[in-house]
Amino acid sequence: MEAWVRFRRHKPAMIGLFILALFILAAIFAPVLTPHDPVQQDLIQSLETPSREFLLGTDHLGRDVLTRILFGTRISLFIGIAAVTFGMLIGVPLGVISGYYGRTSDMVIQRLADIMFSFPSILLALALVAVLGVGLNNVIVAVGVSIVPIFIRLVRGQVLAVREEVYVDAARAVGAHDLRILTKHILSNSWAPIIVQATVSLGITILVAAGLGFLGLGVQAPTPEWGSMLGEGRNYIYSHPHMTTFPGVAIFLAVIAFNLMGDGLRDALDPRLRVLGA
Amino acid sequence: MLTYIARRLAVSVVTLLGVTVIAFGLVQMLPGDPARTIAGLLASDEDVERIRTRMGLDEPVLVQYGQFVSRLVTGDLGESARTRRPVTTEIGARLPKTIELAAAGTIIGSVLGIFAGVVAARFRNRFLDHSVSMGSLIGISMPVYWLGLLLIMLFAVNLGWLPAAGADRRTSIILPAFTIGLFTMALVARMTRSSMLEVLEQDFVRTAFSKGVADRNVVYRHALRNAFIPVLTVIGIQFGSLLGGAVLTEFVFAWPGIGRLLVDSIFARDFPVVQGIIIVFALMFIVVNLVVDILYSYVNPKIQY
Repeated sequence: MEAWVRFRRHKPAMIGLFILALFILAAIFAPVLTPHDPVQQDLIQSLETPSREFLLGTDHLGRDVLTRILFGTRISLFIGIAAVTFGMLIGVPLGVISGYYGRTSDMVIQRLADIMFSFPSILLALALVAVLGVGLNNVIVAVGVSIVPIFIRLVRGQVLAVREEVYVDAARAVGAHDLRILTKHILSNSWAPIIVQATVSLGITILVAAGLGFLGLGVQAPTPEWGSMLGEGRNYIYSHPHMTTFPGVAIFLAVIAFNLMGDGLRDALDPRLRVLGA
Repeated sequence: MLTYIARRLAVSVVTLLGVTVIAFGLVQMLPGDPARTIAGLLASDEDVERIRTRMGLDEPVLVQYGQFVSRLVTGDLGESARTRRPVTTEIGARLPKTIELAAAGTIIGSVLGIFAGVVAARFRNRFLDHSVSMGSLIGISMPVYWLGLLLIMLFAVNLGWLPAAGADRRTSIILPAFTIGLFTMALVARMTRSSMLEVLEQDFVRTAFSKGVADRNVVYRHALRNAFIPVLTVIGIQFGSLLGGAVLTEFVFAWPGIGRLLVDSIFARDFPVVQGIIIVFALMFIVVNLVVDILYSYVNPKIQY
């Protein structure tokens, strides 16, 4: 409750939350908000500049840019949430094992994290997409894997910090099982930085997934996806800059919203926290 | 100190070995028969078998990995499926361009970032400080590919000052270098600011001010020198994202480096080249971090190893 009050007072975080709320509304109500279809082509009205009917203009296949951005919100938010969930499902348990059991498992998992850290996240994602192939599911896996090492490091540090606390010793003394100690006592006391990191990671995954789309190696046409819209617009950058301007604004706003909220959550939950960057 | 460097080096070698496992494993994960892929659609079964034997693809996976590493050690990355030239030749021809871009981006990002961070710390909670905070937030959230497109629109299309793509003119590097450097700039500015704020409150800084050393000298000579270490670490840590940014930046600006080659090779399903570039990128990252760590222990004698 106290944390919520602090979060409410954090003005930048509130701006971030507001932007995110708009995106969520856009994702839910996209079909109601626009009279146009995101996929249906109409070459007669292709490459129109912004007008009253097409507020942000149309693309090279005559599709309304605003409509595609609104529907694209669904894709980007979904990829972000799914990829972060995937990354946490793998990274958090590995971090826990690494920090709690130490010794060999710690050594092995830490070297694994080192190896994954030596690939820039977009590069790891690119390599995986190259092998798995393009498409929504593979993008989620590829981007999700690339944030795994961040969670391993973070959770390991948290576990190390609380492992020696008296209440953990006490739980062990009364004969609590490892699994119970881990979930009830250790993880429940380290969720704050995990939430902060997850929030920031949502921004990172959206950025990387859109990057894949931009390269033509992400979600495929005709699905309205912000990154691939940018990639298509690039071919018309001299004559029709509106095709590249607006999808970029959407990606930028989504990422900035999660970064602002991440800052606010960090201040609200624990001002001493530092979060690893991508 | 020497033992520290030796241990650090050992960890790097282990990491690099792991990188080769991943690079090797990626290609193993590919669906289909690699011998048939290399032979082409029209090859006869005998041809496919001959290629399989010649390339050692009929050996057990571990043996194949061993051969892969031993060839790697001698600098042999195989040959490109597309051009039939050695992968090292393909990468070698493009690598200098990527290093040039990464170096330019790091220098621009570090110099401007440190300057912005110092200014923000000096004028804490004033307009300049807030502008720098805002600027770094934008820099961190900006998709590098979009930034590149916006810069092209502004400086190449509208103003016509700089070339939009390619690397054939001396001014060609300006836009891609700024594009790739902005993220570094933003992170370095944040780190410099907080590090400077800590140092500026310390006794020796107060002493320097009170004995009448000029403001500018206190800030740049005394404080910045001491605030520099965490900044150096940030520059090293984010070098990885810089390389990742290089892939996208090179694509946007048609910059002829290995990032662009990587994307082209993925499209062409030229996996030997993809494999080679992944190893080279990881190697660059590992070496830079090794150097930063050693520099770190060198400039900070307080740390005992």
